[in-house]
Formats: sequence, C-alpha cells, structure tokens
Amino acid sequence: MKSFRLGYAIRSLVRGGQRTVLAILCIAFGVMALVSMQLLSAIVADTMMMPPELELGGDIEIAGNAPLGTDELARLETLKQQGVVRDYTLIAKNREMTMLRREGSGRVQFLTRAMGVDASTYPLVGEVVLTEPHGATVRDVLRVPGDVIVTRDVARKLGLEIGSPVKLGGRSGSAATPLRVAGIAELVPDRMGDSMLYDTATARLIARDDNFVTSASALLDSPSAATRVEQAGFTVRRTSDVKPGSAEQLFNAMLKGAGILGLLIGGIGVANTLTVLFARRTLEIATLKAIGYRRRDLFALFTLETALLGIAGSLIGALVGVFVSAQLMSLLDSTEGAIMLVYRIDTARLIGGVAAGIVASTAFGLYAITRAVAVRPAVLLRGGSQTATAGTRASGFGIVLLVSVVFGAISAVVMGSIGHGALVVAVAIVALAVLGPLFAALLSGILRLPLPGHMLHIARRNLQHQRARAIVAMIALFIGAFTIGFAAATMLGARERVIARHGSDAGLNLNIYGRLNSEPAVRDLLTSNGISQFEAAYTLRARVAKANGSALALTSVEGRSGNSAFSDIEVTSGTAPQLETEALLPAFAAALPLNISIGDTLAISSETTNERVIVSGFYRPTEAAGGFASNAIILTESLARKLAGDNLAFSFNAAVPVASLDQLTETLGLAAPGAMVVSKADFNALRARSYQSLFIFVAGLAGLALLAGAVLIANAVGLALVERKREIGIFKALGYTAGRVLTTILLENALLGILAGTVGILSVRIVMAFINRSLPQAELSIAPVTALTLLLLSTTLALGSAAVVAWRPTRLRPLVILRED
Amino acid sequence: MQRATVLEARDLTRQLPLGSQTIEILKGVSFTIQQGEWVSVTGPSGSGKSTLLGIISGLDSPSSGRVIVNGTDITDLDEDALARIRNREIGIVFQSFNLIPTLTAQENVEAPLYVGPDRHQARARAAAMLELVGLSDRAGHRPNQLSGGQQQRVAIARALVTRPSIVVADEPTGNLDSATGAQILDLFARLREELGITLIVVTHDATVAARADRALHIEDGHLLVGAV
Repeated sequence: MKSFRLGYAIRSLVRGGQRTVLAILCIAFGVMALVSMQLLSAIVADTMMMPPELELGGDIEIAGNAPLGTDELARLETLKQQGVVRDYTLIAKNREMTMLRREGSGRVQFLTRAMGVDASTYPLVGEVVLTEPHGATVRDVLRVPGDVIVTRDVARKLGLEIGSPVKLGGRSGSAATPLRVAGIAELVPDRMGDSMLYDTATARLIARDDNFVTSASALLDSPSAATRVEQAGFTVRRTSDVKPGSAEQLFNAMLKGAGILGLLIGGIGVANTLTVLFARRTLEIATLKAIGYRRRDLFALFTLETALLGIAGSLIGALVGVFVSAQLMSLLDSTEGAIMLVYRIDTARLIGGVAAGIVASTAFGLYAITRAVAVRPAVLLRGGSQTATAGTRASGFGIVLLVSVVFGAISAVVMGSIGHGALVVAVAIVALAVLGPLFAALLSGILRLPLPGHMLHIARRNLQHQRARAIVAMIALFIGAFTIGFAAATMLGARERVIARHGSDAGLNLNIYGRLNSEPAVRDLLTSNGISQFEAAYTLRARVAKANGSALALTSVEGRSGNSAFSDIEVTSGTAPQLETEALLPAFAAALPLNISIGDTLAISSETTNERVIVSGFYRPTEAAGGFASNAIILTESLARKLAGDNLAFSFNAAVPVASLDQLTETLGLAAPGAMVVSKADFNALRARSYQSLFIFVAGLAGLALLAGAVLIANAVGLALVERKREIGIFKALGYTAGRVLTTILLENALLGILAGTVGILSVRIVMAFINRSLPQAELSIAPVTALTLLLLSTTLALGSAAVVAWRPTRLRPLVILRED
Repeated sequence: MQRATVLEARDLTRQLPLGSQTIEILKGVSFTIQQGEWVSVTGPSGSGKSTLLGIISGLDSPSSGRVIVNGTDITDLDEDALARIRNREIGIVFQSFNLIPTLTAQENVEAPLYVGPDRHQARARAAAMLELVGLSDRAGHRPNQLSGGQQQRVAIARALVTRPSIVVADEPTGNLDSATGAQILDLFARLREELGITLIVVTHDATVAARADRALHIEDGHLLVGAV
C-alpha cells in the first residue's frame, strides 16, 4: 500500500511537468527567503547583539575623567593584588578621527578605530583571529614597537600585506607615525571593522604622551567587586549598562519578518499552482471516488504528493538560501566602517527552514486538496467542472483559518516569540486585506476602460478571468517597488543632502597634519605648489583641570595665530583668545556635565610647564569644517608653543581649486615629509559611500520582494497557459501567429507591472509626505529618475517572467495542442 | 427459480439546474433487476440514461425516490458509505475508460483494493483479474501504451477486482470500433457466465442492446419499457 501511494504520488508529480516545476519553484523561493534571512539574522545577531562582555572587553570597563595616569594605574594594580580584580588589560583608544596612509600612496584611508592594547593580556574575552600570520596570537605579532594589526577590510582597501609600511595620523599630535603591518585580523572580539591594533609602546609613540591609557577592561570574580572598583575612584561600566540598541533589534526582527513574508508568498504560489494542478485531474479524482476512494483516502494521497513537492522545493530553496545569505552578507560587510561579519551556516536554522518549508507547503496545499476532493463523481457522466457548494466554501474558509494558524506557529518559532509571530501574520493579513481590494478595484477600473486595439481587448478579457492570480502577483511587485523606492528616498536622499550640505569640494578643502619639525619643509612644499594662503593651527595634548582641581576630559589643545577669522569655527559667545591668558572652549563645555562659564579659570599642564587661562568664550564648528571640526580648547599660538615645546603638531587648512584638488592631494601626500594630507573630496566621498553601501544592501533585500513578484508572475502566466492551451490552439488554427499570441500575454503582464510599480511609487510619496509633515527636518523626497527606474524595473520584471514562461507554449503547433487536449 | 433482486429503483426523479431554470431529467422511474441479469438501458440522446446510471451506481443522488442495492437503501447514505458501496457492491465501467494515466494496467486494477479489506492481496488478485480479461502480458503498460480495447478491458478488470455483484457500464463500446466493441461484449458475456455478475449496460447502440436479456427504454425521463 505504501509503495502504491508513494509511486502514485511521484508519478503524478512527474506527469505534472511544468505545473510541478512551478510549484517547486514557489516553495523553493519561500524557503530561500526564509533561510537566507534566518542565516543573515543569525550572523547579524552574533555581531550586533553580542554578549556585553565582548563590547566591554571584560566584565567591566574602567575609565577615569581623563587618560589614566600613573597613580590610577597603580591603584588598578593594587586592586588586582587585593583580589578585587581578577585580571585587567590596558587600552589606549585614539579618540580623534584617525587616518592611515600606505607608504607610496598620497591618499589616506579613514579608520573607525585605532587602539593600543597590552599585548600580553589582550583580549581578556573573545578572540583575535589572525589570517596572516595564520594561527598567530596578538602577543606573537605585536613584539616590536611600531608593529600593528589591521582588520581584513583595511588590508583589502589599502592593499596591505604583512610587512607593508604605513603611516598613522590624526588631527592633533599624532601626525604621521611610521608603522609596519605585522598581522591581518579576520576577527576581533567586538567585531568592529576598519580597525587597527598596536601595543602600548606604540600607543605611547603615537600619543607622544606618557598618559596615553584611556581605559582598562577587567575580569571580576563577583559582580559586587565592581562597586569596590568604583569606590577606588574609577568610573565603571558594567555589562548591565550595555543594552543592545533598539535599532539592532529592529533590524534583526525585520530580517526575520522578511523571511517569513517570503515563505508566505511562496505558500500562496503553491496553493495557486496546486489548485490548477488538481483541477486538471478532476476526472482522475472522480474516477478514484467512483471506485470507492473516500475523502480521507484522497487527502492521504494528495497530502503525500504535496509533502514531496515541499521536500523537493525546500531542499532546493535551502541551498539557494545559503548562497543568497552569503551574497547579502558580503554586501552588508562592504558598507564603510562596518562591523566584521563572520559567515557561518547555522545548521539548526537551515534544517528548521527546510522543515518550515515542508510544513508550509503542505498546509497551503491543503487548500487546493480540499477543493479537489470536493468533486462529485457524477462529473464522470456529465463532464466539466463543478461549482463550489456552500459546503466547499465553508471548508475552504476552515482551511484558510488552519493555514493561518500553522503559518502563525512557524512565524512564532522564527521570530522567537508568539507575540512577534502573531504580529507578522497580522501584518501580512492586513496588507493582503488592504492591498487585495485596492488592486482589485484598480484592476477593475482599468479593465473597464476602452482600450484601443484587438490585442489589448484580448489581454483585458484574459485578465478579467484571472483576477485573483493577477492581484497576488501585483501585491508582490508592489512590495518590492515600495521597499526599493523608500530605501532610495531615505538613503540616497540622505546621501544627496550630505553632499549638498557638506559636499561641495570648494572652500577649505585641503588639510595637512604634521609634526613641528616638518613644518618648514611642508610650508616650502605648499609654496612651491602655488599655495601661499592657508589657516594654521598648532595642536598638543595636555591635561586640563578646573580651578578646583577636577580634571576635564578635554585634552586636545590648539594654538591659533592672530585675530584672523577661521573658517572652521564660529564664536557663539564671548571672544576668541587675544592674550596668552585666554582660552576659547567648544560650546558643549558650557553644558553639563562640564558646566564651564566665561571667566572660569582652567589649569593646563603639559610635560614641560603649567599655565592658567581664563575662559574668554565658546565656539561651534561651521558647516565648512565638515568632518574636520575641531573640539579642542583654543589658545593663542604663542601659549601653545610655550606649553608644547617641540612636542607640537600643526594642521594647515588651505583652499585650492577643485579641479586640481585630487592631483595636489596625491603630490603633497607623497612628497610631504612625515605629514598626512587629507582632501575634503575624499572625506565627502567616504560619507557618500556609507549611504550608498547601505542603500545597496537594503535594495538587495528589497530585491527579494521583486523576485517574489517575478515568481508569482511566472506562476500566474504558467497556470494561465495551462488553462488556455486550447484557446491558444484555436487562435493559431485561425491564423494568429505565435508573435501575436505572445503579445497579448506580454500586454497583460506589462499592465500588471505598470500598475504595481505606479502604486508603489505613489505610496512612497504618500508615506514621505506624511513623514515630512511630522518631521520637517527629514526632507524626504524621491527623484524623478529613481521613480522612473522603479517603474521600468517593475514592468521589465513582469514582462521578462511572462516571456520566459510563455515563449515555448505559444510556439507549439495548433494541431499538437488541440490533439493533446 | 426466483432469483434475488439485486437492484430496485422506486419512483426516481432527478432535477438539474441549467442557468436560471431547472430541468427535469428523470420523472418517476421505477424498476427491479434480478441477480445474474444482463439489462440494457436504452433511449435517445438526452433521455436521462446516464443520469439514471449515475443514481443506481451511487455516483449521484436522486431528487426523490429510493434506490435499494442488495437490500440496502443507498438513497440517503453519506459520501463515505456510498464510496463503500461503489467499492464492494458495484463496479463501474465508463465510455472513456477513465484509467489513471500515471498507473500501469496492473496498478489500475489494484487501486480499488487498497481502500478495502483485501489490500494485502491486491497484487495477486489484480494479476488474476488481468489474466481473466486476457491482458497478463500488458500488466506493466501504462494506459497510453494500450489500445482502446485493451484500456476498456483493464477498466473491466478494475470494476470486477473487488468482486461486486453488480457491474454498471456506461456506453462501454462507445469509443471503440465495432470489432473491438464486439470483443468487449463477448468478454462481458463470458464474465457474467463465469462470475455470475449482474450487468447493467447503458447504450444507444441497438447491437449492444440486443445482447442483453432485456432492455429498459427511457424517453424524455420516463421509463417506457421493461420495468419488471
């Protein structure tokens, strides 16, 4: 009996031919979406929602108000000896924007992070996985001052290898330190890309200050030990203070939700296909009933068939899903300043995806099976199909409820909570409930319009007969068009606004940072390249404290010459410093927690001297400053020189013609001894690339929705052709060419694509108008070119899918079709 | 010797909707059929022959009247019970053969046994039935590999494999040439002789009708001849 049922099921599927393939494709698409989104969300969750210990580098992160000085480091060591702290590692984070230049290149790469670590103890938690040298540890690699480890993305962007000489520079005091790449990391504990690690000796070199340790990470034997660390005068950040950002959680939920919705679309396609597949077997089903098969016997037979479809489709979908997730991950990985994603295949989720596909396809198939087994055997005598009775409709409704429950259960498992799962199902139902009637009404309206030409008339008539399938396909295309349109409006729009606001490459567009000893040579270089006018600032690191002795976190100090206006800052209150006893502070220093006022006295200490200054005013960066906005304490140039002695860095800001900016940057970068040359154009391009990369990733995701639309279009066309084969045979017998027949099919689907795309774009505009009204600063808009591109994309997809499926059947000879039928 | 009544139809009517109207197909048809009889149901096209066949074989239900098969009133049985009747009491042969296209001849004949009590003997009994109809050498062939006459013989084997007491055939020779049709009728005669089955054959062909013991003639929904 089992072999009879199995043989019957397999052979029926094989005989189904194209219909079977379509059904398998539908479920494969659904499982592909689910598995790819699940794998991607697992990878993202690993990284974005990592254990808080990895973010802190231990059980706690220890910091002070300023870099940790000798006394503080001694207190920390005491805490260890007392057993309060089990172990700790020192960290020296470079707080300003850091630039990296490969030797032999004049261009810089911006790093998200450059960090000094104690190579003997780092990392306390997590691991640094080096691909080169393979299997080496941080301690193995960072033996010599000047050796650094870069993350793989930095190595890729700059073409770095082991032994590559690089220079690291920053705006203040850390200019152009020569370093050597000694390791390339595939993974760092907190997954942050665009990073560089070096040991504490190198950190001292870069900071040019003995007080370079910014924080420490520690392991504790008990959580209560953190309080004792605080009592010792440190600021402590606990794991309980680290909460996954709501943005990360939302992103992860959206990925999972997208996967489930993909499965839903696949399931609808399966139900569609199976309905027609079984409708073609009405006589066969009636015959089985005539020889004594009961409903439950037929249910068992056809459920087995559907489950086999589900297995085939789910296995294919899972394999493709693995591939798609890898591609999406690499898109996400390529966004600027991204976290380091590590690809892994979560076997449990893969198997779960296959299981969900089998269950979903069987559940959705029940709808078609219920309709199929309702056939009365009397049709064997009268022929034709029967009208659905109230009983059939009632049981159909019951199956829809059952499918909703099953789908809800799958959603709950995938989303990790019943509430979230129910929310996804509710969103799907509401979307279908809103979009379905909307598209039905639009389609009805358009189909009532008098359309010119006989071909359009035939296309319109055909659409009238397959409304339900057409509407489902349009909904999928609409979702894709809307998602891409919205992503374009937000991300590309943001990119355009950033470019408009900061993106002009004119103005102060060339920045050079270097050490004092290279200043004369750099001045000569600028002069010889026709640059005689530039704004100069001199930077140093110092300890700054209030009059009452409490240290400030502000350690960057700049000296600026004369009373000339600087393009990058605007004094908001008080005056710029005129005397050596005056200081101009960034505007945020007036607010809590610093709470400094004009007239307050500050003590500034360098390695060589101490000075007192009075706050003369506050400033804020101008838009022209762009990414190079200062947040230093500004003194007169003479005071800065007095404080720093030879330990001074300079930054020159010049305005050069935009046309020669690129070439000058390269020339000066190569020629300037020990200096870092940064072009505003490079910085603007970096910012623009961030938005661009993110858009590409979102578009990749939204592409799945468009793909769903294409699959459903192919499904609808394929099924329609099955039903209209005889009609096609008759048309051809009457003299219609294959081209004419194909044209009617393409016209039908072009109409669907245009309608879905248009509604998608209009919906984006409506949503944007609503957001702009609520948040005027959002300024969302969609460019006409983007709108047109979306419309073309939607229409082309619909046409392409239809053409692929309809090409061969429209070319069959009429006698072949009519005889077969 | 009085033979047992295997089928009794009492005042059968059947109406069918046609657009907004209701058409009366059968208008009070009554008859009985004894065990072992070969009865033809004849009449012009549209007279209600196939509708009558559908009702007496349990494929359809009458609008009014009763149908009693081997002492069981099947008129108001639910679908599952009717399926049991069709599986064990009545075998049906169709004009278009209605074989399952994906199954071989052997498997088509086995099919009814898998929903009955004899599923474990399905293979052997089906093989025996195919031999009885002279198609052992075609057991592994699919319907599209068989001629029309061979397909009808497989359909007959399928109808008989569950050993029903009644076989109902709807225009069994309608899609066959005259020579093949005659072979089918000869097969019916032989099987009636060997198995003692009761045959009810719907036909518009006088030659086919002439092979029967008696004929029921239907015209315009009324039984004009052969009620006994």
